[in-house]
This record gives sequence, C-alpha cells and structure tokens, in this order.
Amino acid sequence: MNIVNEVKIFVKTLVAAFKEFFAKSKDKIEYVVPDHPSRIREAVPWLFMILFYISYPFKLFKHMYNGFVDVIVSETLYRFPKGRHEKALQDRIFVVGMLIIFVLVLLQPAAQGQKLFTISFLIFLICYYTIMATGLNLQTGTTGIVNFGVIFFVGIGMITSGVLSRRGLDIFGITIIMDPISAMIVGMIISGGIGYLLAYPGLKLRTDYFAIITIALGEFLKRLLLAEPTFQTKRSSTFSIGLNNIPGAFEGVFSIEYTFVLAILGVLFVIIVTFISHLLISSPYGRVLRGIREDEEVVSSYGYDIFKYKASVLAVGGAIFAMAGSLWVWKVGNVFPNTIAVIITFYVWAAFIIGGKGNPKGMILGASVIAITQYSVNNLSNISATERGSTFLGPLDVIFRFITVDIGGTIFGNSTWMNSFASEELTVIDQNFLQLLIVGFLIIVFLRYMPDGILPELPYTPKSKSEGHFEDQELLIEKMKQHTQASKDITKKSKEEKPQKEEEL
Amino acid sequence: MSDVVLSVHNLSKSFSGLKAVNDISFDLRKEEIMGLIGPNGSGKSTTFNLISGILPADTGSVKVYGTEVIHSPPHKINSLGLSRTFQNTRLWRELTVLENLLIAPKKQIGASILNAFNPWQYKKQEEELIEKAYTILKLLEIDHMAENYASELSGGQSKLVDIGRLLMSDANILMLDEPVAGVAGPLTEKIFQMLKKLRNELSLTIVIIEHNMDFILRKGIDHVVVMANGTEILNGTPEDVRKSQDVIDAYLGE
Repeated sequence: MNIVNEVKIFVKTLVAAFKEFFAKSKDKIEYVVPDHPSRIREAVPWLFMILFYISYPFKLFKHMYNGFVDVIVSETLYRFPKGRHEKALQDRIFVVGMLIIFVLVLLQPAAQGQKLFTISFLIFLICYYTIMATGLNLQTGTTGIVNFGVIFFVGIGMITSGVLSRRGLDIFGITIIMDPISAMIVGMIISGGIGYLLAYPGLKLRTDYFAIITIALGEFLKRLLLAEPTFQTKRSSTFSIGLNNIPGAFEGVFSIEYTFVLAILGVLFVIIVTFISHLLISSPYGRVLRGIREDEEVVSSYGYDIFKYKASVLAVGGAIFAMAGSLWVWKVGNVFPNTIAVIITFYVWAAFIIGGKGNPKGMILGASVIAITQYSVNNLSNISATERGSTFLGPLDVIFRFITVDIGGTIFGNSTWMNSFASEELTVIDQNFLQLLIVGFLIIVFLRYMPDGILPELPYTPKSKSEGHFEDQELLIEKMKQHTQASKDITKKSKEEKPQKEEEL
Repeated sequence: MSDVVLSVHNLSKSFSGLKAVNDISFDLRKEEIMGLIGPNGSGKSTTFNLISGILPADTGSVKVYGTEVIHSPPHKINSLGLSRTFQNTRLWRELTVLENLLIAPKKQIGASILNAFNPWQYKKQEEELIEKAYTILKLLEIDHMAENYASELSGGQSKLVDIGRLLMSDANILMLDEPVAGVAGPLTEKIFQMLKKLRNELSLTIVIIEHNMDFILRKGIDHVVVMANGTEILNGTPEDVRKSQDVIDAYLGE
C-alpha cells in the first residue's frame, strides 16, 4: 500500500508540476504578446483579399468579364507596364489611377468627427504637390532647366502672401494690406519676375551650375526670413521671427470646415494649372521648348531666341510655384524659416520622377503617390483604433501598422539591431524617417524599372489630313515656293536698303 | 557685286594658340553651289561655326545680304535667311521625326507664348506645315519613320532628317556639313539632283562640306574652296582642283 500511496503522490505532484508549468508558460505567453494581439491576424485576410482582387481580373477571368469597369481596370492593369507609351491607354491608366487614389483617400482612418477634415486635408496636400510638380514639369521636364529651387519660388509666394495680407507693407508711410487672393496674384507676379531675371545667369551657366544656384537661393530666402524685419509679424514693440495669423482666402465665408473649402480651391487651381501646361506643351511653343531640352544650340541656329524661351518658361513656372505657396499659407496660417525646407523641393522632384517627366497628367498621379505616402504615414501612426472609437482596424491601418511597428520598429527602433529582435517591446519608427525611406525606395524603383515614370511623355505628332499628298517633285517645289515667299521678301528689302545706305554715306 | 549673298573676309579663329581658321576669304554669289573641302582638321567645320555665329570669331567680317553679322547671335543670322546642318547630326533625339521637321520653319504663329494659349490661331498654319513636312519626308524616302523618335533612326536616316529639317527652314542660303556621309549611293545622287533642282527653282545658294570627292568634283558645283591647316590653298572650279598639285599634296602629305 505504501507503494500505491507513493505512486499516487508522485502522480499528483507530477500533475501539479505540469499544471504549474503550463500555468507559468501561459503567463509567459500573455506577457510576450504585445498590445495588439489581433494585428497580424487581421492583416492577413485583408492582404489576401487585396491580392485576389488585383490579380483575378487580368489573370484568371480576363476574357470572361464584360463589365465596363472590369474591362477598363483589367485591360489597363494587364497592359500597364508596356503599353504606357500609347495615348489611348494613357487615358485609361489615368482614370484607373484616379480611382485607386480616390479609394485610398476615402480609406484614410480619422478620429471621431474628423473624417471630413482628414479627407479634405489629403486632397489639399495632393493639390499642393500637383501644382508644384506641374511648374517643375514645365521648367525641367519640358525645357530641361534643372531647377532645385522649387522651395525658393514657393517661399516667395508664401512670404508675399503673408506680408501683403497680414503684416502689411510700409511704403512712404502708407501700409498696404490686401485680401488673400490679390496677395496671391501679386506673389505670382513677383515670383514670375524673379524667374524671368534668373534666365540671365541661366543662359550663361551650364545646367548643373544653374541647379546649384537655385539650391542656394532657397537657403538665401530662409536666412532672409530670419533677419529681415519686413518679413516678420509686427508686434507693439518687438518683432518675432516669421509671419503668423495669416488669413486664408474665403476663410469664414462658408459655414463648412475650412480645409474643405481649401480642397475645392486646390482642385480648381490644379485644373487651371494642368490645362495651361497642357496648352503650352502641345503647342509649337512647347515643341521649341522640347527642342531646347534636347539641343539648344541647334534650336538657336534655326532662328529661335533661346533667352526668350527660357525666361518665359522660368516666369510661368515661378508664378505656378508661388500659387502653391499661397495655398499652403492659407492652410497653415504661418511662415517660419523652417517652413522653407529644402526637403519639399525633393518631394516635388520625386513626384515629378514618379509621374513621368513632360506629361501634365502624370504630375497628378506622381503628386498623389507622394502626398498619400506622406500623409498616411503620419495619419496612421498617430491615430490608434481606440481613438476612433472602434476596435476595428481598417485595411490601410493594419498594413501600415504592420510596416511601421512590426517591420519598421524592429529595424529602425531606437535600440541597436541586436537588441531589437530580442526585446519584447517594439518601438514605432520615426515617421519622418519612414517617409524618406518610402519615397527614396519609390524613386529607386522607378528610376530602375520605369525611368520615364507612370505616364511617359507623349510625342505631339499631329497627323496630316492628306498624308504624302505630293507624289512628285514638281508639286513639292510649287508648295515650297509659296512658303519661301516670306523669306524672299527679306532678301529684297535688304537689297533695297543697301544702296540707300551707301548714298547716305 | 550686287548678287553676292554671302561674303567672308579675312576670317580668323584660334583655339589657345592653334590657328584653326586663318584668314579665310570667299564670296558666294546668288544661286551658286560651293564646295568646301580639305583634309581632317583643316578648319572647315570651324568656318561654318564662325559664319553661323555658333562660335565667336577673333577677327574678320561675314556679310549676309550685305549685313555685317560677325558679332550677331545665331538666331539673328538665321533670320537673315541662312541655315546650316551640323557635322555630327544633331537631331532633337527625344522628339519624333515629324516634330524635328516642324521646329525648323520660321515665323510660326504658335511659337510665341501668348499665341500658344489659342490653338485656333495657329491651327491652319500648323496643318500646312505638317503637309509640307510629310512631302519632304516622302521625297527623302523616310516618310514611314515620321512618328518614330529621332533616337531610333540609323546614321544615314538621321542625315536625311537633318537635310529635311534644313529644307523646312525656308532659308535662302543652305550650309550643309557632310550631308551624305553614311547615306546609300543611289540616294546620294538623288539628293544632289534634288538640291540642284531646288537651287534652280527656288534660287537657293548652297555651301557643302564633303569628304566624298565624287560628290564635290562634278559638273553641278560652281566653285570649290580647298582648306588645309586653317588656310585657304585654292579657290576655283572643280577642274582647277583636279589639276592642282597643292591639293594633292595637302591630301596625301608631302
């Protein structure tokens, strides 16, 4: 019996030990699991669903779907990388791209009651980048003037807006204060004028040296804002650095969220600016600009004054940049030296590269990629699910948290890489670094696999109604006779003028 | 002397001590075809660059229709009616062949920034120019390449587009820098006949640089200037050139 008892005790202790062991391990598991246990589990089905929706139309059921949107989307995605150079497909890519952007904008999570603000601000940001990218597209994409001073022109727009609509400009004892729209127009004129003047050094300097000048100008403006009292908000006795409390256009006119008004204004500006740049690029004027990009010496030997063209395009681009600057000032209401940051120039350049140089529509897509990336990273790491009053995580939320916390936090957390895998607490990556990381990654991918961007430049080749109408030389020569009449007149004139001059002498 | 359209006098240019062009003088009468020949590095292309204003000359004078142009920028010289091609065919590479031809014409309404906003204003002129461009391309037998990028062309085709561009420019004085280098034989002949015909019909004046002696020393050429080491060693008819011992020495060495 002793033996039986002992066995019983042994089994009991064994069971107790197992119980204790499992209990301890259970505690341990609870301790290991981070605050968001369902994060990855929730992300996986979303990822699969998105992958499925992307892949099925143009792989499995491509020929079976006849629905309008399905055909357009699947056809476009199916032919996307190679068919980008066709005009017909470019329009479709643009439509599909805008649809995707629309969905991504709507999916942005927002704190309770902030949905309208979030969406409006994202649209505003897209418009802000699109306007700047369009200006850069005219100067760099079409004319080949390398401009790294986007923020310089934008800064002129910001400061002019701030000074004229808030602080007031003192001239001869009179203080000039304007409404925001007039201030924007004055800013555009000033910025355009400075762009025109920049053509003087631009004509003599090689492309890269001109680019260095433009970078320096941005820094120069930043220093000027630090030191010059004209650009500082007036207080009773002292001056503070920067301008603040700048009023926005139509601020307080409508009883709706002001950012929403600005988003509509931004969309209006984008439509105007894109239309203008399309008109310019597709005209004979734009053709000469593209000729200058390729070989300006030959263009000048065909009778075009390079200076005129470069100066005009720098002026138009400068005015467009200033417009973006005013729009930004209306939103944030202040200009500080740190607002004029060189990094904005490079975000615009990234939008320009991703969108496709020389294509006005591509600028909208490229700017959207940059703006959505930038905004999502901030927005998704700032607003947690509970703040939104719901434990349900949105699809973007899940994906971005997976990137920022699980991957980004492990690699870029504030501990060393050796600690980061072992540590149980994962730190969220610094948002600014993640923005730079994603944008840099996008630039590398696009330069490697699509150097001409999502929508490459289209050749402007209008077709003749009567293609090759003249079969023989006789008719051609007759045709050419008509065209040379003008230049023959010059010859006659110079011949007539010459004897007169000799008589005068 | 009234029919002298281009007169060059004592033109000189030196690159840090090396006299690339030394005291060149010649007169070009209306409706003449002139050949400019010489060994490699004898300063032919530099002479072209000096006349068309691409390079600033040291001394000398260049008169186009009696107007002194020695210090004028290229676009002003072109507006007097002088167009040129470049030796290393400088097409606008990321533009299509058609666009290459369409930049060349002068006095385009839509080429000014204000008119660019009004497509209706330049539409008619544009259609005429496109028709003309297609005709020229057909004549040069490259109309099938009209919508290809210039960077996709072969060397010979590029030369043809270059000539087409020159014909589009409505100039009275054409300066061709090695126009048929790399162009197939039969087409070379055709191009020369076409230039001659255009010269007769449109009263053009043509200067040609060429290494191909068969192309230059023929009946159609009115006079030939031979250059060697930057100096002018002969100015005469093709017959003179054939007979001259100086020219043979310059080409074959001592």
